[in-house]
Amino acid sequence: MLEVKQVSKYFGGVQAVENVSLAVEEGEIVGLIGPNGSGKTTLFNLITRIYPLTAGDIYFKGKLINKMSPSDVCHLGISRTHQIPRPFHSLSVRQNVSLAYLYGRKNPGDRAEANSEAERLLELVGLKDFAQIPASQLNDVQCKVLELARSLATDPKLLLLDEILAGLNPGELTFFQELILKIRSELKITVFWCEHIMRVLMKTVDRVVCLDYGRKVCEGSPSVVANNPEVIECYLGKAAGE
Amino acid sequence: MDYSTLAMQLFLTGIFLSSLYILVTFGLTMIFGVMEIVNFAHASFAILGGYACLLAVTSLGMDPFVALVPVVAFMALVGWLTFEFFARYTLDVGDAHVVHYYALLLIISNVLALIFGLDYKFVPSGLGYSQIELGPFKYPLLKFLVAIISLATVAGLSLYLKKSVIGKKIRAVSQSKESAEIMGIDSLKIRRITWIIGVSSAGLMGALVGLVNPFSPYAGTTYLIVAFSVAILGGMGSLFGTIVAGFIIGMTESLFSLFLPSQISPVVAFVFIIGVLMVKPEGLFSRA
Amino acid sequence: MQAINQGNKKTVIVLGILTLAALALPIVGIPYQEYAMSVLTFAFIYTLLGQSWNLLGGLAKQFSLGHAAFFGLGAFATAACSSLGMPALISLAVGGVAVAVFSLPIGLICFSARGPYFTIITLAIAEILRIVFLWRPELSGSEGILLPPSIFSTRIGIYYLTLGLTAASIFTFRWMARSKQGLALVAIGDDEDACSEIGIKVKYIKSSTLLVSAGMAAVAGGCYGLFTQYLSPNDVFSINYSLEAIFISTIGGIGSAFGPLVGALLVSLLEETLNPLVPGAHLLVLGAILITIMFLLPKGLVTLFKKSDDKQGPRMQIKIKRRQPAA
Repeated sequence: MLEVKQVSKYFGGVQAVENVSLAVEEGEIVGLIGPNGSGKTTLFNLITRIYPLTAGDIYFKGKLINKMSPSDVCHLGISRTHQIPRPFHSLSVRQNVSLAYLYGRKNPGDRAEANSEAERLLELVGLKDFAQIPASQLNDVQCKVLELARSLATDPKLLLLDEILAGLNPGELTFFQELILKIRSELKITVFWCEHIMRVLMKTVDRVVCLDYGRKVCEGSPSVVANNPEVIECYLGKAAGE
Repeated sequence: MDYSTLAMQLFLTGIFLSSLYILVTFGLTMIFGVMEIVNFAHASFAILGGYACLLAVTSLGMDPFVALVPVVAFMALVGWLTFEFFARYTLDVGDAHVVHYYALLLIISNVLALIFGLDYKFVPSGLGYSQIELGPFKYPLLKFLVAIISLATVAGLSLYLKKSVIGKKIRAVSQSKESAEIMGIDSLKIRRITWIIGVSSAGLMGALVGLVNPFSPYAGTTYLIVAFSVAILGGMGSLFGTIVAGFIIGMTESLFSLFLPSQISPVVAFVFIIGVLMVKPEGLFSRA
Repeated sequence: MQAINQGNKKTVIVLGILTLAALALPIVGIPYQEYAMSVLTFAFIYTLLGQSWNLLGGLAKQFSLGHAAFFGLGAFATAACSSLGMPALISLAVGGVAVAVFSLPIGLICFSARGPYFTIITLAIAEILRIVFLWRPELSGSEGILLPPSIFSTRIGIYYLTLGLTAASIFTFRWMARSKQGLALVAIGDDEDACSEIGIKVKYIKSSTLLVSAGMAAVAGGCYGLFTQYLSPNDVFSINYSLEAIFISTIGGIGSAFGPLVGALLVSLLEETLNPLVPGAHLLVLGAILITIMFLLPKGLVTLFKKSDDKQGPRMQIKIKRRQPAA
């Protein structure tokens, strides 16, 4: 579904992503792990076309998306959330979602349809009671779920989640884990998920890709990756005396 | 006029323009770096400096170059007052601060218009058309002195920022206000000093321009755009970038004065900056 | 709901009375009639200009400092059409459309930049136009140009014209603000990248709004030219008009439909009262008022007319509500 082929990104002389290739198949939940600064968010920004590529190709459903605008990529069916949520503070919670419905789909319905779809999505993520209040009054966790609902409103085929679990308490972790599984099973959306909270991630995903210093270290099932010496090394450093 | 004389003439004019542009942009870009404020009133401080110099020369009978000292002192006072009664309250209003500074621009330029009228004025330098001989070349002494003074000021300020303790604190705050505060730096004090330096250097630039070109209360607009052009080209907040960009724009304008009538020469800088921003929206030497 | 409807009814009645009063003013003889008409005429022209700025600046937070460019171009375009012998209304319309079309390449240039960079490009464009118009005698030159007299150079003619256009501009703004595009503009003002990630073509939305905005400012300039019958580049391209456009929207209430009318009335009243006494003094007072308002009422004078619960309340902190786990 998503194919990243030998992609590189340099900021000035800094290599943020170097020669990374990976693929995400339809219906999968793929995890993306790696220490801070290993290029995970940069990779997401390359896929959504917020940053231009330095080298390489990105295909989505067989189409080359290198030169597309971020809005075209969204219309093709890629949507994302941000590490630090970025809801539209001047709009109400429902407007945030219905706006995404109105602009994110190729053939959106009218305002009424947008509103009812927004209500439905807000119910799914548990924000139904807050539909009318300004997004600026939500707390951090609510902003995360609002952003998730907003991404879902664009009718994505592939959802990119950027450290959506950061800063959550155990109850909230379970809530999000269930939600992500539900997104795959009920909404038939493929998920590409970058995360630090291994305990939850490893239990949820089908496959994991690990990045370090912008390079792909390894790829495979959660248990294989978790026991890979290189992965352990990039998180914990080399054992002394080695 | 042979080609080498012409080339030298263009080069010296370029240096002259660049020196003034760098001086006026220096304060603008410092204020942006340290206070995160886009000071749309910056050029009106320059014009205020011009009028202060005019008063010192015509009413007090001072020598124009001696008058620069009280002018800078006066502008420092203006800077202190505007900081205490205005700028410090705009530090936490976010993007909306630009409207406050539009208002300040309007107030300063119209106070000047009320006091001095809308006619163009200039500060009599007493040097007339005397020329300085630089080897085989001749150049107007007045412009030469103006360029020397502004370049010396820029050099002095750069050195101050690099070497002095206050300068280091200023640079620290401009890199990260929070970290600087954790290290025990009084960021409000640093911002006050930055603002006063910015306002005084703009005033000095205005006084120097007043010696060479006529000015009016609304003439600030041109210098405002030039200063922003230099600042943006240099990547807002970068002092090295400002200096390089000042020379690029000053030299370009000087070169184009060969082909263009003098009244439209400022357009060169404007078109230049629009072109740069279209290609590289964050400036040539941006810090990001 | 009931309370809201009643509130709306009251507003409609008050607006109706004000409109009738405005319509009757030239016919019914009252003291200071001429003075009132001239204050209102300029207030209406400024409302157009302010409303035009409000579309981009108020909704999408694109702080243009170059609306004098469209104002001045509109004035000169209308003048050019009039001197070709077109009727005044047609000239105004042609001027507005021409400037709207001209705004497309301008938008392409401006919208490649954001924030203060956008502001400075718009300012530079207005300055370039001023300098070029001053320079080329075939455009205007420093002497400026005269417009032929028309029905709109009379006090009554221009009054009704600008009154009608002001009403139209308020309806246009309300319609735009409540449309799908208005929602997108507000979102663009919050976060442009997030907008493009949910499929909004940011540049397209901004440019198409600029088209309307530029046309509106051009019509304001055209009205100004038709009434004063004399245009000079130093006047109509002056930064003061760009600044006034911002003040009018901000003083009245940024992003609100009636804000510019409130602001424009204040500006025009100050101008007509103070200018004959001390030329330029109104701008000074305006600056002082604006600073006061920005510090005390950041959402503008219209907040005074709104019910207290419309103002931003204290930040609510609500815990996320979770359903019981299914199994």
